[in-house]
Amino acid sequence: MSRNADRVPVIAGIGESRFSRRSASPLRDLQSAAIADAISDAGLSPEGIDAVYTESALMPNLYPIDVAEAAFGLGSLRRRGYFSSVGPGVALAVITAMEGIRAGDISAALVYFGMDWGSRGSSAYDFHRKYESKSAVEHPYGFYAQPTYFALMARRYAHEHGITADELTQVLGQIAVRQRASAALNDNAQQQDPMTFEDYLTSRMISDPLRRDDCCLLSDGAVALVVASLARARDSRHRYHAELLGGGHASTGMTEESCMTQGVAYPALPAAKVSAERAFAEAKIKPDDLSFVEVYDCFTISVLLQLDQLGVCGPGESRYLFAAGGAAGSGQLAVNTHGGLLSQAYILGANHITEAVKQVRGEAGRGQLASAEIGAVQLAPSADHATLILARAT
Amino acid sequence: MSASPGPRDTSAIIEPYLAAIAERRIVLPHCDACGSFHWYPLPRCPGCGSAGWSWREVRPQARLLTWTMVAHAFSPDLAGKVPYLVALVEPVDAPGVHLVTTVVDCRADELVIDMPLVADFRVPVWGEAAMPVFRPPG
Repeated sequence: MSRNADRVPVIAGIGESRFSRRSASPLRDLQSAAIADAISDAGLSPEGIDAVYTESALMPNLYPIDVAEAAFGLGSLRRRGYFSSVGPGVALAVITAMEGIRAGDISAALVYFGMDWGSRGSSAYDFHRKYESKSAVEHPYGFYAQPTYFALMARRYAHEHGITADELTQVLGQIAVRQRASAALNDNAQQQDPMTFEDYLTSRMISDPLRRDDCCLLSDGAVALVVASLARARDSRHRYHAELLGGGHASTGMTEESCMTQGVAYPALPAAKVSAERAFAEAKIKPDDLSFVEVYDCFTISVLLQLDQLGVCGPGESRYLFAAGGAAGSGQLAVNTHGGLLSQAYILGANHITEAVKQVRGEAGRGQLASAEIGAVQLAPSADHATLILARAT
Repeated sequence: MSASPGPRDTSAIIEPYLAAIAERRIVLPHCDACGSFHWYPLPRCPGCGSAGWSWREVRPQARLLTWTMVAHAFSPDLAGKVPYLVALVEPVDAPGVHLVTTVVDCRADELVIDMPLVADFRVPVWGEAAMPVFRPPG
């Protein structure tokens, strides 16, 4: 079947700042450098960009689109837009760019996202202060920070699936240890020191059953992507290109203030299932075709909650992927090959997208998988969910 | 402006809830059309889209959905207060509503998921006024 390479969307360029706990450079400098790198990596110049998309919770303050537009001389944009909040918002920006390429509405879209919560450590918690109901009826009980939200989910999840406390510790520890091992192969990971299961067990309890090593890092860093056509990408230096086979987005129908506690299937994430099904239908592949998945891992339990919905296993069964002989252990399905939010950096999943691009291009360095032809990115957790499917193209 | 977190920063939409708990009652948004409860308050019933909902009192009974013992002080104000217990409970009269709360008069190792609880009104760990807390019946 012939296809028109002008209408095949690819992530043609990526840029990543150095990720660190505290950057010596302000976020604007990190973000600007990542944008310049992504445009260059795509083999384009700023004049070739005709759309700019980013997420809407943080970027309007940290690095607004008009700043990107003025700083890079993007004078003739056809499209610009802020999408929903945090990780899923970045993915929805990519999905929208993908659709624009397919339709021929745009020729190259810049998507970017950056974080300075490493420098401003309390900002992760303050993020939820803006919801007045939470201040009135959650904070008085000390229900204030994300580890507590996910600790509650973890205990309920274990109960619903008959997982004992010891079994939960085992699987969460496996996730933390494996992701650290991946980060040790990643030169742009904040945590490259090896972690043993014993190290995990001795990391201090934060909000039980979650320990420090179940929790993501805090980071300063920035990421940028250029979505363009395969025809354009072929002019770049890359041998392989990261085709966007499919993208699925699904909202939960809940507000940002209620989505952490009020889910109809709490703690299961039915919108994650819908987003994955939409992505696979568009990509015309099956979950079993995936070589790897980069899944939003703000906490170890988040990996299980989302993999349950991806279609690679039934509800409550994702823990078996991490057991001896399970798919994640035997290399059939690699998970968070960059170390994830737990051990690479907390760039809210934008770093999951760049890692997926590197893997399908065969440019992931020491962390390169032997087989990485098709991979998925699964981003949560907020009032919406998104799934991207990427494949190697030439 | 960096307001400190806590119960002072209340909004008009949550005011009837706070007024009721000051009278040791629990009221929740209840749809006049479809009869479902929702939480937190919204302009319309998320179940059926009706604009006609009102605050309805529920019995002070709930089941324990889940809990965690918070060991880390996420704010300097909480440093002297850890560890403390946070729970989610579902009122028996309002299926689908999950209240953030705590469990009192019960050791953590006595807690059982889905156990029945009854409400009491006490000042919680980071609170300034009495709010609903839950304890085993009897």
